[in-house]
Amino acid sequence: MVIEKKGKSQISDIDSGKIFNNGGGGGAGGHNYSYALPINPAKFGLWLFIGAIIMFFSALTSAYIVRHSVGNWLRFELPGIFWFNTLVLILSSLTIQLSYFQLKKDNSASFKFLFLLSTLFGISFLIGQLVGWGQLREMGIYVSTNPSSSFFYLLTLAHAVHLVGGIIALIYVLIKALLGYYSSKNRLGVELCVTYWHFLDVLWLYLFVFINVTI
Amino acid sequence: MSVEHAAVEVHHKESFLTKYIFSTDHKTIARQYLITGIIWGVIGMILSWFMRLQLAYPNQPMPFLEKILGRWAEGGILKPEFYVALITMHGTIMVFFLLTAGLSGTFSNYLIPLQIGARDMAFPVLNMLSYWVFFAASVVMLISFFVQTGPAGAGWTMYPPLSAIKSAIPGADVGATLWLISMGLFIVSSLLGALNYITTTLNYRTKGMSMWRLPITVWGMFVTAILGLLSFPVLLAGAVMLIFDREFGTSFFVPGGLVVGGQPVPHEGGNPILWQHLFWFLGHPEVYIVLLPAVSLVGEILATNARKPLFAYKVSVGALIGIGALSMIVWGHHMYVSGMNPILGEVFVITTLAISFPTAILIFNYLVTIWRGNLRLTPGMLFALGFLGLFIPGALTGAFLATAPVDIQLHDTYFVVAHFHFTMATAAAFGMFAGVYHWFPKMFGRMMNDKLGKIHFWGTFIGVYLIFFPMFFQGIAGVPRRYYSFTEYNFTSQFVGLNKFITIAAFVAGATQLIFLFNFFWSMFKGPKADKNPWKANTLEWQTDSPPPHGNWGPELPVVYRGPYEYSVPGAEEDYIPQTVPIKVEAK
Repeated sequence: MVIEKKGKSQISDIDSGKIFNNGGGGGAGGHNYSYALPINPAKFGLWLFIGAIIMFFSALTSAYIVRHSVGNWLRFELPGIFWFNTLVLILSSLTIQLSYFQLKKDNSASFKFLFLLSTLFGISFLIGQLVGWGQLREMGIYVSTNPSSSFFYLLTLAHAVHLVGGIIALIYVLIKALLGYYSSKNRLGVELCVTYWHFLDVLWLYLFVFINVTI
Repeated sequence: MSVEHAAVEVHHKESFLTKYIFSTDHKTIARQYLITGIIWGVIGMILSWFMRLQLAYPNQPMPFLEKILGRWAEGGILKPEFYVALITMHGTIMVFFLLTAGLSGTFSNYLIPLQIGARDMAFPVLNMLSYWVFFAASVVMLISFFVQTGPAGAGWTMYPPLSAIKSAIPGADVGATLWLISMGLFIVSSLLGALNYITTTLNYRTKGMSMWRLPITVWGMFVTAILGLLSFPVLLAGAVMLIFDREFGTSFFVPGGLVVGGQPVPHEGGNPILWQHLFWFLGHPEVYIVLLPAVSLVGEILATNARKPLFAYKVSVGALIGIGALSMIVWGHHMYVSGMNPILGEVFVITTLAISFPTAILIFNYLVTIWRGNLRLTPGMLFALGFLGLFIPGALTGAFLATAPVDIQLHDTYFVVAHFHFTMATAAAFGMFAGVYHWFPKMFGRMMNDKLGKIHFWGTFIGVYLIFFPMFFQGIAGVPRRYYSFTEYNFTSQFVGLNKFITIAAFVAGATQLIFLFNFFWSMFKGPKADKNPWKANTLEWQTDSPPPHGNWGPELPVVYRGPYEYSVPGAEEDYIPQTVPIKVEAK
């Protein structure tokens, strides 16, 4: 923390994060501020972001409830593939948690394998959703057919958009993991991914139960 | 280690591009927000001039209008569809682009890290993205002025079905699509900002800076950020549904059986009131997203320039939090005449009136703060006092609108226009002006001209009263807002003379803003150099250089020993004690 150098190099010390340490380092708070929360700022930021997403989906589902109660609501059977997709997403959530445990134990090979597996599960969930939407279209159920289908497409699409963001993050972290970037001491990126991925899983379960109960 | 070091040095050769354009420095980003906000403010004001011309001289050809607006004013007479587009864009620009992004973006970015003793925001890159996404939103909104069918024209509240059916009015076509895209980007930008403000306030306070030692400005920005984080996603959800209705033929908001232009609309079974709920769930907190930063800037400036501690600091902070919390449950008072269940309406009457308690507490605290103070009437202080002078009549008239039976008479009249221009629009603008005058020396290292600032204040303050106060009378007489012309009926045409008066006042008050613009840009380059602490203020930002260097503080972060408002402490050598001055331990 203390700077011994003079002049020009002092600025570069500020910039390198030695004293300019906002956002630097991992661990609890990761800096020297005495009133920091007992949580890494990046993780805290992610939770705030998740809070915003929750508000977004609660707006959509409360609109759903209001519209549902008005009537003129055609029921339709969900294609079986959506159940399969749900299973895949739960599995991916499990494997990503296991991969995180392996990283904590520094079992690098199994961490990478499980993380790769989770990413693949995530991608196959997305493909499964595409197949499911295709099957619905074949059944003649389009976005504008009835409020029930409008809301179904809206909710699943909105979830898929957030999931695409998650998959991009997973692939980014996966590449860094394959390059040997992470270890039990340096695992913030993985931790953020795991948290967000679990959230997407829980969000999907909420939407899926919600849709199945009401549709 | 050495490799990493070298990489960092390369990264930090600050070129023009990284220093002024794609900068991650919170101070630069704040100035970018400020200047973009000022540009939007000028555009929004010019739009209001066109509206005022139409209201003062309805159906009178003004050939110069055709030169400026082209086919929107053929023969020099403004077209009705362009008039509604003007109203829509004036509202959108002023509420979102000037008073949300311009105000919060400038002062949250500038003051939070400086006043809590941090070197920058928690996530500097997200902060830069926040500005540039806002910039993209600005560009899209600006483009909508130049499309064939003109900018969005369904009001800044975008009520469906008018906004949902493209053929309803010209302004519901491409203009509305661009409006929705722009607002989507705007929401993303404000979320990125809010994430940063909240995380930075909670995580990056320097040693000694406990929550109860934060200046009231930081508290205001912090509560604002939480409100934005919780309410903007709801508008995004509504906007996505509206886009579905417009582009994919769904019927979320469009009821069945509508006939537009002789053609039956294929939608059926939608509920327009659903949009109103989603919109106002954002829309009402939005009022406080605009107001709270302004009110907290004013509190800071009043205490500094009255040379007195902010009265009942903790109570004031509690009031800010109370206003924020209550603002989330009052949105229904915008919808008393929308066909809502009257019992539900009663609930919203109670919650809305309840908000006047914390608001009154806060304002009384401010009044006691300046009571018998040693007032220094700098332009910043004048604008802060002007804020009180505008907010109080605005807030008092709010009580009438909050009461459902009275609102049935006053709803959608000029009374509402006058009310919200006093409480939220001009009051927040005064807060922003006060902030600009007060923190300009810190932001740009130079002083603004005092005399020009005072002329600007008096012109604007008197102008605002002359413009908006007569509108209360128009509203009580039942003159509806958003109408293109008032020549058809006696009860409205009796105000033609008054409308001319208001229009002249609007032009004079608007011209006064040129003084501010000149003062702002001239002082930026030619003003006298500012000291570290020209106002003799306590908070941390005044203890570093003007403008602060990259990284804000020297090698060591400041350490805080006391609260932000130790002014005129009995027995002290000077009438202010900065937060960084250690407390002397006196022998007993």
